[in-house]
Parts: sequence; structure tokens; C-alpha cells
Amino acid sequence: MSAAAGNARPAPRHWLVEGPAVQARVIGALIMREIQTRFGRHNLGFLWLFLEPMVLGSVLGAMHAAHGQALPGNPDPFLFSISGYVPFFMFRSVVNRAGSALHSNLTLLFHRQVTPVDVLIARNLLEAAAVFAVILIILGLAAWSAEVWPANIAQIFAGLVLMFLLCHGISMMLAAGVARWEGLERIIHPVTYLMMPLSGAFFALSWLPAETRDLLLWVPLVSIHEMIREAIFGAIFVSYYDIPYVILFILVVNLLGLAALRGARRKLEIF
Amino acid sequence: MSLILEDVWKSYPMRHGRRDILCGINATIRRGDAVGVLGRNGAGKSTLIRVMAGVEAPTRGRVRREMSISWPLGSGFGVQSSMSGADNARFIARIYGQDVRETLDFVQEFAELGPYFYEPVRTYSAGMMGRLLMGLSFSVKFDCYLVDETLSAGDSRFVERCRRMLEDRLGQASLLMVSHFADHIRQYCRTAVVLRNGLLEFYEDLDEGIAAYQRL
Repeated sequence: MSAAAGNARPAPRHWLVEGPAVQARVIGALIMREIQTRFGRHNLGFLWLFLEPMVLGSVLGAMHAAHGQALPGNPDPFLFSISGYVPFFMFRSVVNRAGSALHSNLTLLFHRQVTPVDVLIARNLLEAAAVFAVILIILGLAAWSAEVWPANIAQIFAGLVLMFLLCHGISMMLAAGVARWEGLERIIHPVTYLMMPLSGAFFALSWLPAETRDLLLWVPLVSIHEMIREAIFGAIFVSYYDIPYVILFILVVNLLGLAALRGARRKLEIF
Repeated sequence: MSLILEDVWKSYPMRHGRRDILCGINATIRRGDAVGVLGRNGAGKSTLIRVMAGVEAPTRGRVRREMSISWPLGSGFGVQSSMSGADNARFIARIYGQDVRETLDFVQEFAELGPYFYEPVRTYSAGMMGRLLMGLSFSVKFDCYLVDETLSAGDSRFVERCRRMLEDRLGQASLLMVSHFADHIRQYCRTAVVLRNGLLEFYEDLDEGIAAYQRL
């Protein structure tokens, strides 16, 4: 019985090195744990992570394509709806799952080094990775079957990174909020549902009158969707977005989220 | 190398104001100590262990951890019930930065779960859960083990194995154990503390401590 594994106390390192090393280890372990519990070991496994947004996006795209009505500026209708839906899917799934994030990992918080922030980072990274992969697949398919080349690939990914940071900040705030007021969780789903028409996922701002456009640009999701759309379709219609505003918004929600989560740890009832 | 509590207070909000559970506790646990924590239901034993482990911050005061301290080992804490015992062992190995293969082998051998090692933890009996938890915690070489009622579910064979393991590490490892059963405290511990009215009473002599507890 003396074959005990490693020591809990390796050679002491400076906290600047040790802190991030521990956090990276914890986040890695949490990601593996998410993959295992969410997708199981026995069925299609974590393929579902990719299939879910892929299937939903494709059905929506197919519906639009079958509708046959040409969209203003004449983008490929299939690519148009899917390029709006998949980024929105990241928003919806990250935000919707935020409410349950801490609760379903509560017992793991018994390990001192596991923090609520780590739990959310792990979950959201997994979700974002899926959406990144789906976008790559879709762009690949579009290039191969319809010979549509995205105008600016780097901009697509910049848009997705902004989307991820935005969702992450919001999810931290919501997770902390749910730890305080459980009722909040019931509101999250309807709100994300109502956000759908306001998110700019399914229309281009250039189709709308100027006043509506200015109003909608207060919603950071709209800017991000426009940015991604411009990166895919180029200049076939004018795109409107306000990146400095989006970045400011992201900074605010992330800082508020971190602060709220810090306070939430003591609100969690660990029994 | 010790675990030091300096004027530790912990209170929780209740429907009618706050309730103090720990009221200014001072204590030092040194390497090699084996302390039994006794107290009535709701006296705050588990709270004390959680504060020591750093799961919860004290409302006031300071906890100084100069040695590595386990997470509170009790009824499924720190273990994800939808994952298998093996997956939990992998998780523990990863977050404590140890070799995954070695940890798996160690836990499997110590916990003796047989095929259940690969089944979800929620299917485990109380005894199996205790064996898994002790296996997981022994796989990491902590300086101090905080045990909250886990060992009481084990059969005599398991109790013997745990005792040997702790004895093996004696002189290096310390143990702080919560239990309602005086017998268990006698088996594992050398000194006792009684938690009463948010304060600790120390007993160098185990039997004296147990007698004081039974008079409560």
C-alpha cells in the first residue's frame, strides 16, 4: 500500500507561476469532466457538441433556401441564415447553461483550488470550441459546394472571439445572480428566446431604416453578427457595427461578472 | 508545519438575523496529530472542517495553512456523482497535478470497488463511497486529512486498511476526524476536542474528551 502517487506539495514556485499553472490544470480537468458527463462515454459522445448547432443551423438554412425569396443584396440564403444562427447558438447555449453551471459542479468546489470562475471558463470554452469547429466546417462546405469564399476569415474569428467574451461575461453575471436569487434561472430562457429577433442574427441592418438601425446597435450582439456577416459576404450589402462599443460592453460585463462571482462563493450552500 | 486557526468566526444568515456557528476559535494542529472532533448535531463540526479546508472563508479571523490539507472527506464531497469512480480519480489526479495512471491504480487497489470502479458514483453504497473517498484522498499525499464521518460506513476490514494507511504516514500526516461514534474516535485518534457553543474544548486525554462529550 505504499505505492502512493505524487505529493500534494511539489517544489514551491513563485505564485506568479504557480497560480496560473494550477488554474490551467483545473480548467483542463473541468473540461474533461464536462465532456464526460454531458456526452457520456458510451453513445455518440461529444460528437453531439458539433452535431447540435450543425443540424439546427442547417434545417433553418434549408427552410430559408426552400422559401425561394431572394434576400436583398442576394446572398446565398442557406449561408446567410446559417452564418447568423451558429454564432447566435453560442450565445444561447452559453447563456442558457449559465444558471445551472455552479449547481451541477457544487461538490467539486470542495476542492479549494476549483473556483466558480474556473467552472464557467471550462464550460464556455467547450461551447465556444464547438461553435468554432462548426463554423469551420460550414465555411469549408460552402467553399466546396457553392464556391463561396469568405471575404475575410480573420474577421470571422475576431467576431467569434468577441462573441465568446461577451457570452462569458454575461454567463458569469448570471451564474452569480442565480446563486443569490434562484428565481432568476426561470427568466433566462425566455429572455434569450426573446433576444432572437433582436440579435441581428437573421437580418442585415442595411435592410432597415436608419432610426431602427441606430436603436438596434445598442445591442452588442447585433454589431457582432454584422461584423461576422461582412466577413463572410463582403460588400454585397453595407454592414453596420460599432466595435469600440462592443469591447467596452465586454469589459464591463466581464469585470462585473468576476466581482459578482467572487461574492457568490459564500452564497453557495454547500450541503 | 501546522494548521493554525486564529480567532476564527463563522456566521450564517438565517431567517431571523445572523447566527454565529464558530465564535472565535483558536487552534493549532501539528504534523502527526490525530484529533477527534466531538459535538452534538448542529454544533458546527462540519462548518469547522469546511473553514479549515478553505472551502469557505471565515467571517472573521484567519486560517493559516502551512501544510497541504485535504478537502473535507465526507458524504460525496468533492466527487461528481454522475461520473464513475475512475473518472473521479482522473479528475483528482489532474487538479492535484499527479500522474493519472498511478492515481487510477492506487485508488482501484485501495478502494476495492471491483467492476463498480467504472460505474457512476451515484450507484455506490455508503460504504463504497467511503472507500472511494479515502482512496482518492490517500492517492494525494496530503499533510493533513480532514475526515467528516466518512470512515463510519466502512466495514472492519476497511477500517483496518485506513488505520494502517494513516499509521504508515504517521509522523508525516495528521488527521482531524469528526464522528458521533466514540468507538471510531478511539480507533483513529489520540486527542479529542469538543465543540460546544461555537468554542473548542481541548482534551489531551482521549477518554476524558469522550466522557465530556457524552455528558453533553
